[in-house]
Amino acid sequence: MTPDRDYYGKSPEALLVELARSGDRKAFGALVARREAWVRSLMRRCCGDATLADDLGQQVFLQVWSALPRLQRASRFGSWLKRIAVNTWLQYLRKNDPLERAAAIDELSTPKSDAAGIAMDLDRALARLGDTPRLCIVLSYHEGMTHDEIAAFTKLPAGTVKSHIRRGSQQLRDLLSAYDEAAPEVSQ
Amino acid sequence: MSDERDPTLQELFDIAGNVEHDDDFPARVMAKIDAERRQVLAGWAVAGLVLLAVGWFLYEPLQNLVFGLSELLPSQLIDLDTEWASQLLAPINSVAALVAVGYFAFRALYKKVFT
Repeated sequence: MTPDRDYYGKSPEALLVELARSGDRKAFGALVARREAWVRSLMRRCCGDATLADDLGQQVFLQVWSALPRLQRASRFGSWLKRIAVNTWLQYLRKNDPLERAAAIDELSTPKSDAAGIAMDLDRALARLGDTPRLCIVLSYHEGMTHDEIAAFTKLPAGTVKSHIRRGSQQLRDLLSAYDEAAPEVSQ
Repeated sequence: MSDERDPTLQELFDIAGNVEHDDDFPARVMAKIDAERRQVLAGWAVAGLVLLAVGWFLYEPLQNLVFGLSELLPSQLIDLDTEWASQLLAPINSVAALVAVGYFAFRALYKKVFT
């Protein structure tokens, strides 16, 4: 690891954000390196496709780079980034037919025991949900957001968010019922 | 509002966790940023060249148009013989005032019809 990368790698995120705002490309690169897995995971849970998730993740960071000078407080970078990621996903949905992807999903029969297999089953099951319930479920379970936070984020009424999560959870439970019998024991 | 989550689903989400870090991802993002920047610069360069060419070819007609407008806009709509009255009413008794009123009327109409 070069001294530069080491320095940026160890810097606090708020400092990296400030540096990136002033046009420091290395600082922005370090921010991307720090947050890419999280952004790609969020996208992966939303779209269920690794390649598409990577493309959307790149779009998110392109938008972040161009909008960074407008970010008021560096300490809010995390939630700001999440908002951009969710908006990127919503923009993608507006431009593309969500049913296009739904056809190519297999039945979930046997539960997997490794994290990758479970992630794949989860993504497949999530892909069966409608776009809005899926987004609500991902923000709730993957991001740990409260219903009120999700309502504020997606601009949906709080009651709608609640019912999407309740019905979506039930649907997911049915799709992933194989995991009910065999409690997942994970080999990473 | 209850934010209760299904424990089994939560466990599955926790196990699925985040995808693994991709060391090449930041480089791909930076390459895309560079490519986009090059595109924007090229766009500005083309726009600059086009403007330059337009300016070159239209310099004389544009100059004539500006001179023509500068003579036309302050001219009176109604001829007033008295010097002080023509000075006083110049802001409303001119082609420029007519153009301004026409513009605001059009804008108001447009807003009423389309919003």
